[in-house]
Amino acid sequence: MEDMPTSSPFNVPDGFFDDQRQRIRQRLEESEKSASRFNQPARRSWMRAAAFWIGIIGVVIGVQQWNAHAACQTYACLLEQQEPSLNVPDDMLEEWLDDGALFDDILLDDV
Amino acid sequence: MMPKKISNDHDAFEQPDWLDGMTHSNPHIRSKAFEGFMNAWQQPIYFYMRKLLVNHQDADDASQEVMIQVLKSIDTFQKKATFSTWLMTIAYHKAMDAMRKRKTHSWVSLDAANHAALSHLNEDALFDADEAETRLQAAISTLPPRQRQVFVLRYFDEFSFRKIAAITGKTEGALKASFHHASKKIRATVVLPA
Repeated sequence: MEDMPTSSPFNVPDGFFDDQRQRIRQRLEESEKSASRFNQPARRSWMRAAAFWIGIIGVVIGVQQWNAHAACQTYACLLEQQEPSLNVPDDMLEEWLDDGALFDDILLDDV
Repeated sequence: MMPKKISNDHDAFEQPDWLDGMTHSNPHIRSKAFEGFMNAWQQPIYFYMRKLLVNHQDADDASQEVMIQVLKSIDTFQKKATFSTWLMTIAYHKAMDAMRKRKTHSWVSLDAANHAALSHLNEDALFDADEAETRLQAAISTLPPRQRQVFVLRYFDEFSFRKIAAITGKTEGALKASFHHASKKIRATVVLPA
């Protein structure tokens, strides 16, 4: 390898390094501007307040859900917490059960 | 144009004098530090990328990305290593990304890849070399990314294996093996049979 060249045969267009330096400076200035917009004190305090309230709401909802499930010791309790799939008032249900109306009102209707 | 070689401060633990100015609150001092950084590193980083990527546009993009990242993350530099090692670590990873993006298909034979690289170089208006240099650059551009980096850092920039290990995070033994394989491939491609 001793006789191999170690110089660089690569050239660049005229003024390339000045131009590249200018582009880098511009990109840095742009990113500094956008960073400073984000870091304005008013904007930061508003975002902090929003994050605080979102956090509080999240904690409250989480605790409620956890308590609701934790309070139930039986399967019946859990069932009660679910949305009923059929809305039948208790008094109507009792009436049906008492006088056999369930058979007449519902089952025979479909026959 | 004779490019500046990358500063090879093997064991010196000196930091550049403009380094502290890069994070200074005074914009005038920051601007002067920016100029100091660019004067010292713009050309070495560009030519490092150019030796690896060959194409001017690719080297322009990659070197710009390195310098932007260095300037943006300068406040994370903890001065546990030399500035040049920290910077070269960023350059190494950016170059790896760039080479992997441009990776040729593995089914292309070494001869075909070398032939393609030679014709690209011969058509490149910004490449000016004799036949031996052209063959050498073509052979380098066909090396796998890591071997290419190790070869360029060791052969052109004369970095110690210790320094290359600090930059790449690889062991010195692995790097010596990479350099050996790279040199063997290049010798086989460049040196014409008698």
